[in-house]
Amino acid sequence: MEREQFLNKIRTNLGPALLPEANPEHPGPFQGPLPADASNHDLVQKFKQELEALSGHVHLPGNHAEAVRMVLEISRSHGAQRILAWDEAYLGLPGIATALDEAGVAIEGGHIPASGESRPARLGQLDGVLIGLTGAVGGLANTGALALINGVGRGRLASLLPPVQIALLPVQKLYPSLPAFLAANPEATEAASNLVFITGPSRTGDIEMTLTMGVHGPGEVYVIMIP
Amino acid sequence: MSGPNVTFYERVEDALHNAQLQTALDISTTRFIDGRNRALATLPDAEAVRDHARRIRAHTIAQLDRYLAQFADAVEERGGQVYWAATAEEATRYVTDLTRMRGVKSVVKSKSMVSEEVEVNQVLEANGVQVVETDLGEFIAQLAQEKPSHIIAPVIHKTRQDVAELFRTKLNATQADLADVPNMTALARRTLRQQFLQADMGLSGVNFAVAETGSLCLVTNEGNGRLTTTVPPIHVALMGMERLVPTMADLGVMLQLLSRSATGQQLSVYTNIITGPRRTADSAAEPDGPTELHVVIIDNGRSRILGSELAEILYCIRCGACLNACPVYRKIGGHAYGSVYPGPVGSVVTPGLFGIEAWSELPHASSLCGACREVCPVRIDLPRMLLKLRDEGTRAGKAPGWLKLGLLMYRLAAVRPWLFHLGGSIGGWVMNLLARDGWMNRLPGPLAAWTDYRDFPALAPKSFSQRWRKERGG
Repeated sequence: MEREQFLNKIRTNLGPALLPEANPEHPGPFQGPLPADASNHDLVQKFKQELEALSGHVHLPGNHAEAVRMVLEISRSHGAQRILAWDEAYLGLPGIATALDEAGVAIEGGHIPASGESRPARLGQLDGVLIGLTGAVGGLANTGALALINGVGRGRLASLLPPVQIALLPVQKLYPSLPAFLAANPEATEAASNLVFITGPSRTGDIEMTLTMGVHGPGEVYVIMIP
Repeated sequence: MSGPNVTFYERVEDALHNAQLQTALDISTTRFIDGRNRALATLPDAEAVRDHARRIRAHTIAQLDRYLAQFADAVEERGGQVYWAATAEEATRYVTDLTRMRGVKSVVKSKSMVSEEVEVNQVLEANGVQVVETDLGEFIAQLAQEKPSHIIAPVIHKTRQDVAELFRTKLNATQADLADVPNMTALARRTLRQQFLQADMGLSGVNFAVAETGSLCLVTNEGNGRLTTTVPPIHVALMGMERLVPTMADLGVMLQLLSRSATGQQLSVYTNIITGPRRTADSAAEPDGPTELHVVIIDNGRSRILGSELAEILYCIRCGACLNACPVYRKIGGHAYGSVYPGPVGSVVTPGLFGIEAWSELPHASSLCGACREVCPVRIDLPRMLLKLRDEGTRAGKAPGWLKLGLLMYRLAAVRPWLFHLGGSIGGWVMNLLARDGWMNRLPGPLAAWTDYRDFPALAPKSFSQRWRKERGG
């Protein structure tokens, strides 16, 4: 159907429509109380508590060197030989690429050809990678969620294909709630084609409501807070 | 299991006699509602958020033409394509034509009510395209060739043994694969991962679309929604035309309510917001994501609902809380409704979309207790619309015969006080003769259908008017 025809049908039916509490003016922003802002320390504690309740792991290194060691330790304990990582510029942890390289862990960039025969082959290669390494543009303290913008140099697949995700979250980028994050990051949807909030490991309860992790996305999520 | 030609009352009978279903319903609906109450309590003022969400939805529907136009412009500006489908046929034809033009052989799907509504799977399969449901519950339902029974939990009616048997016959599962639920889930992951990697197209629904940015928001726990919209080179999103919010801030308000009301989670695991297809300009080439994005905006009866006294049902955000709260749904489950949209919301949406003539029983599948309205995150007045639909059904000559007879008898007595009192006295006397401790567990004759599944309270030995006379006189 043509667009105008479709919209005209709506206009015609809006006439007799019974729409309780409908106002022609947009109601504006929510004015009621939101989860309160708090000190960064309290936000960190809240984030940690919420994510751990969902079986996520949260680490609080004292400095960058310690953060690098933590990434290496997680990949070592999983026996990972390859890691699907964002470009270092988006990881917010200088030196991590070199350190992984020296530890004998190969870094896979996540570039997938837009089309053509090499596309499925490349996807197949990446499918075997055990760990995905990403940054994050924010954390939501009240729900334990990570906010990731997926775009240039920071693909979607690193937080999606591998069974394990390590996310590097700048400790200063914690927000009390989702509305607070959206208010502080108005460009989040325009910066790239994808914005995703990740709240712990992939889960399902579809079989007899038995909670099971890692059904499609990563079954293990590690968040390392970068000071 | 009920076939398509089985009546509503036969499906209800089936459900009530299915012990496994009854247990599953008891456990799941109670767990969902308890979780909902706890999750809403984590908000500083959930009632205020609900009021605001209702205002946003009401305003959006009242300005739907304007916001749809703004949304479509925004999608197109970012390189996506928009198709306007007046009917289910137009929607499925668009998708089928696209599969033909692009040589698509296999499609992966993430859970979507509207795709069930327009029956896109059936149409694609009839055209030789393989369609794979990727939500674990929907995948199981597809293997069993059944319709999902709950908006949020599609196979709550199945035991793990049922699922194991399906996996054994359909996926050649080994004994080890079926040892426990995590192993069965791992098998599903491996099976479906291969489907994702080779799929030519991903087909999804939309939880919310944002008018100002042209963004699509999809909420899943498993991650299949992200894989569907990321891995295949083409993403097609089907959306009911009412699934809009004006701004990202409004989306933030809705997201605070959706998962809390649906599953009792504060936020689902993946809240995925897609704005246009993968960007491929040389200066800013993204590494992954689909290169084509098609948004199919579907009317299919919604504009008719809009122009009626049922328009408020378009505020619905598809959380499923009204199902879990409904005492009727809690006994009969989703399949009994016979529609893609079950529960109180379905009893309004289904006759609204497809006509009261074929669906006149559904508005009666309610005790009008108002539990649905109470839990609805946007406070939709479902009982009002159920009553309206009962009225429409009666006017269409679809009222059940016993209802007419009963009302006729009541009218005869109600306008004749002596007859009313006499009837009450005789009725009370007979009932108390048959009752034990004030309850009757077996009514005589055709009334026995009621007491098959519940007890009937006997009338009080003395009627209200008898007591009134005595109190006033005494």
